[in-house]
This record gives sequence, C-alpha cells and structure tokens, in this order.
Amino acid sequence: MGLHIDHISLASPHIFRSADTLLKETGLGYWTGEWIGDTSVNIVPLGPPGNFIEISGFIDIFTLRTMNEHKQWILDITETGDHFNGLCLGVDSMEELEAFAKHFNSTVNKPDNPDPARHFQRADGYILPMASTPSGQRSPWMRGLPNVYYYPDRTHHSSGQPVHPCLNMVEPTGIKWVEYGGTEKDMDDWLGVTGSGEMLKLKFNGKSMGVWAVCVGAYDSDDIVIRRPACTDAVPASKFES
Amino acid sequence: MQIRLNHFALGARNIYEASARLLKETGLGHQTGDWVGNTACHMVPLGGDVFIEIEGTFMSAHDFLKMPKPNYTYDALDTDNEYNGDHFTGMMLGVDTLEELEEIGKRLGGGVTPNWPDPYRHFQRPDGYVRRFQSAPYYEPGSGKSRPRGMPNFYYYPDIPGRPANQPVWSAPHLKIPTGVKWIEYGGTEEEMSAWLDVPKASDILPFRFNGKALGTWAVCVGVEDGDDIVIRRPPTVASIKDPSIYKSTQ
Repeated sequence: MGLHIDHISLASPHIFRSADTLLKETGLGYWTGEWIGDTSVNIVPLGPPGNFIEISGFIDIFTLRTMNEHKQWILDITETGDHFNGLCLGVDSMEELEAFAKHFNSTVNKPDNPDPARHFQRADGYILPMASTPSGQRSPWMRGLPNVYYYPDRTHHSSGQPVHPCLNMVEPTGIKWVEYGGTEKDMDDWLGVTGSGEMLKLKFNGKSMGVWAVCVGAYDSDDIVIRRPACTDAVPASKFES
Repeated sequence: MQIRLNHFALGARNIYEASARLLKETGLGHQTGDWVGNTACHMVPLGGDVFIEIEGTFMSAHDFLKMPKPNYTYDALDTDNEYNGDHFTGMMLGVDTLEELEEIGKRLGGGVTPNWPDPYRHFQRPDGYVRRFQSAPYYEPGSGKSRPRGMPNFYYYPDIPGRPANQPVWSAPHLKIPTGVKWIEYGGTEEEMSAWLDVPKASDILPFRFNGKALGTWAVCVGVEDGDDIVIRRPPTVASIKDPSIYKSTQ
C-alpha cells in the first residue's frame, strides 16, 4: 500500500462515554479491553483496507502521582472533552519504517521488546507487536504531526476485530477523507514526500495542525463525518517546539 | 427469603492489569466494557450466578483530581501490597424480589435505592444493554445514617439472564471453568454477621469462615472443573485504613 493511514487517536476524558456517544451519533460499534500501561483504548473499526479510531484515556489515576509532560498534555487536551490527538500512518515493511526513522533523524521503537508492559495487551492475553517512529519522549502528536507504524502481524490488527454487537449499527466501508490542520506543504515537509493530500486522503483547513474530522463511508448509508477539535486547539503546538 | 451471594467488588488501581494478573494467577476469565458513572468493571464469573467485579473509578481523571480528599477507596488502594494494591471493596448479597429487598432496607433503618429512570444511573454495556438494579440499605443523604464499613449490602437484579455471572468471558489460554464459591474468608465474627443478616447463624446460609480481623472479604475460594480449588486472597479496604474517622460515611 505504501504510506497510508493506519489509525487515528481520539483522546477522551471518559473512554466509555465517548464510545457510547460516538456509537449513538454514527452507528459505529467498538470493542473493548485493549490497554498499555496507564491507558486503555476502545477500538472503532472503520472498514477496509484496515483503519480504526482508538478512543484513548487514562485508566489508572494512581499513575498521576508522578506527573510528566506527556501525562499533563493528555490531561490538558481532554479537560474540555474529546480531541483528536494523533494521526498514525502505516507502512508495509520494517525497511520502509527504518527509512522514515532516518528521515526523522530518529530511531524505531522495536516490535520485539521483551517487556509486555511496552506493548498493547488484550483481554484474551494477546500482546500486539508494533513498531513505530520517531521514538523519544516527546511525541510528534503534541505538535499535531503524525508518526508512522509497522505491524509485523496484520492478522490481529485492531481494525479487524469484532465489535460488540449493537442495535442500529452501520457497516463502515473505509475512510473517505480526513480534515487536517495546516497545509499540504507542512505535511509534505514533515513526511519528506510530495502530494501527501492525495496520498493520504487529507483535506487541509489551514487551522492548527492535527485531525479535525474523519469521513467514513458506510454500507447502505450516508457518509459519516466524525468531527472533534484537534489537540492543538486545546494546547498549542508551539508549547512543544523548543 | 433466601439470601444468597451476588457478587464481590475487587478494587484495583488499574482494572486491566488486575484482571490480566488474576487470569494468569487463577485461569479465571473476564468480560470487559461494563461501566456506570465514573466506574468501569471487568466481570469475572465464578459459577453459580456469582461474580467478581474488578472495579476502578478512573473516569474522568479530571473529576478525580477535583474530588474532595481524603478519599476512602483511593487511600486503601494506595496502600501497597503484593497484589499491586488490589483490595476487596465490598461483598454484595442478593435477594429474589424487590419486596424482600425493601424488607431488608426497612429492617436496617433505611430503604432501597430508587429504580432510577435515567439509564445512565445503571450499568451500561457496549452492546447497549442496561443492567438495572436496586440495592439496600439506602439512607437518604443527610439522614446521618450509614452502613457500617465492611458489612455487605443487598441487591435485587430484575434480569437474571443478563447478570454478569452468565455472560461469556474473553477466550484466553488456560481458562478454567468455575463451578461456584466454596467458602469466603470474612473479617469480624459470626455473631456480627448473623445480626446484620438477621439470621441465627450466618455460616448456615452462606459459606463464611470468620477470621476475627477487620470487616470485609479476605479470600474467596472457587471450585473449578478438572482442577484444584482456587483461592483469591486480597485484603479488604477496612484493613488498610488507619484512621477511618477522617472519611465521610459510606452510603
């Protein structure tokens, strides 16, 4: 597929209320039970070729005994409700990911870290191997910029897991477009590509960087537009540019 | 009136970590996705219509940070132990009719919780199911009355098939099939519990073993098919609170 959208992160102060609201608003179902460290994600599959929204939030308030920049950022961007806080791109091989790491002047978070606490875990005991770049404490998400992932095992990809069955559900048929802040040049420069808009189905709105809306097709139904403010609307990207 | 076990509440700092750890420790699986208000629960069926709810009040973190302190349950779970802070936070008994629940509420000087018309006052599941329940004793706010900490309360669930004990768990390696609670190690004495339940001998109607320590559940023994009995041992919250006088009373 080359460089593509893999998933979109929606930061939430209350991951169950947010998932319930989204279900009632759109008919998109979700599944539960995935977590990493102090965070859990309720997963909303968006259809082929394998995209999803992860509704993410703190599940361990005891972790707030020790604050750091990232935790404070999550608290700040969810203070007034849900905000899109990450566009997560995907590639099909470790070689492609390594090339992006080189472009970012960074390294790869390896998928084979032996510590299970470093990976997403599921209620059935599955540990999700996942590699990403750039690495480092300060995520590009904080500046409204995407990072890039490679999943060695696509058979267990989050987009392909069954949702809790529910009344009035719709069947998603894939992302049609994503409304993004900034300009195509901003995105091209960050990724080192040309034509990121067409490549990634992005429509740029000139506002602060980050995801502002996701349009999803649905079988036998009108397109669904999920609109939430970008995280940089709550906490300016400039706070993290030094 | 038949008083029976309904469920146990097991408070955890991180319900995902706690349920994964319990699964590895015992082979008992769980459901995910139940929530009410600021609380989410992972449900562990024990067989015989009884379950453990592994509960966490983490939503939202903002609400928690603004919550008046000290907070009884938080302070108990903040006490380190070999179970990453897990504490049994409650034992919930069950009756079969609302009339029985009302009788218990009245006997204990209160009433029953209203059958709140707002579905979001009840447990929600991701499939849209709303698990309605009522409990006793319920004391009106400001009445000055409260349930002694560590004593069980009573529940009436109108929908038995919808009870968490009867829902499927996530499939996982080495799952065991629970066959029911064999015994409960509880704090306090037979006399205290018998008086609370208004029966001649509490251990004649429920499989209690009293240890004379702080009130609350200390251990639950669960039978399994084709395996040794499982003993889930965690301290009760009452055991980890040094000065209960600084907390508001329980409802």
